[in-house]
Amino acid sequence: MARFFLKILLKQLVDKQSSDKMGLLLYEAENGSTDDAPEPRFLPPPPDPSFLTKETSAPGSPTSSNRATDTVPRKFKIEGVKIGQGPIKADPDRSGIDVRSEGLIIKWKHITKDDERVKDKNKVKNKDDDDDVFDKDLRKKFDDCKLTGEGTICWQNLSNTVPNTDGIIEIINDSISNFINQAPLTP
Amino acid sequence: MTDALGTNYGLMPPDNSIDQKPDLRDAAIVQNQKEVPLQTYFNKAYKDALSNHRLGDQPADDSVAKLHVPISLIAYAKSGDAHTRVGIYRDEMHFPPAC
Repeated sequence: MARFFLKILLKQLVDKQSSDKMGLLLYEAENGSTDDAPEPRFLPPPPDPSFLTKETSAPGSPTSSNRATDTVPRKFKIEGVKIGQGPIKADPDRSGIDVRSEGLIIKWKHITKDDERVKDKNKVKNKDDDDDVFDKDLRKKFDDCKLTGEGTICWQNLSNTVPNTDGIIEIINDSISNFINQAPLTP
Repeated sequence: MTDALGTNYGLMPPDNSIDQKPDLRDAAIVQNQKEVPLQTYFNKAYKDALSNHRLGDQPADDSVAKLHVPISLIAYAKSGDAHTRVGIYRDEMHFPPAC
């Protein structure tokens, strides 16, 4: 399934036009529709954002889906997503429970020069302001590894009773960060 | 490869077998650029998450209480004019015993 998403990223799923359409659907699910998007349009807030984004409902409430706590900063942007939640496949040895899954297209933060912007000193700083600041040293590390900073990820079967998705974020953060930094491996 | 938790890991197979694209290379091309491959770091991160019960009760036995949470990660890579990809593959599909 991750390869399926990669083909959308590479615009190789059927053809470029088809990949663009599917990529737009994934983008809209995470970000809402752009102004020039075709109907039906989904104005922000996005309709079905990633489970790796912050939970906005009260924990334990009926509308809570146990998303991220926001205490583990994501080192990547979510360019597009398709989420899923529902009962796990029938099995005589276990009862039905809801599990979550999703496919993601991501881009590492701070490594795209096109995203560089001048900070407005007068602007009230918020948590996401640093997301697009270009870091040339970090970019070099990705270049040295021949990585573009883009990627696709699919995961599934995370029980709806697991209180958050921070563990998934940690796996993605640590895998890529440690690889580009060639961090020492500790037991 | 199997780790201490009994979790089986496997490298992503060469994409050439699927795409038939001559410019798409096997993961090994990129992973050899660095001393420690991406998969090693992924294995450790996954194992840490399991040990810390970040993915629910573990070790997974595929029961309701201890579900296996598969993850696939593909880092898109480039090499000169050619594009390649590195990846970590785990079986994403759950097939109950009845299947």
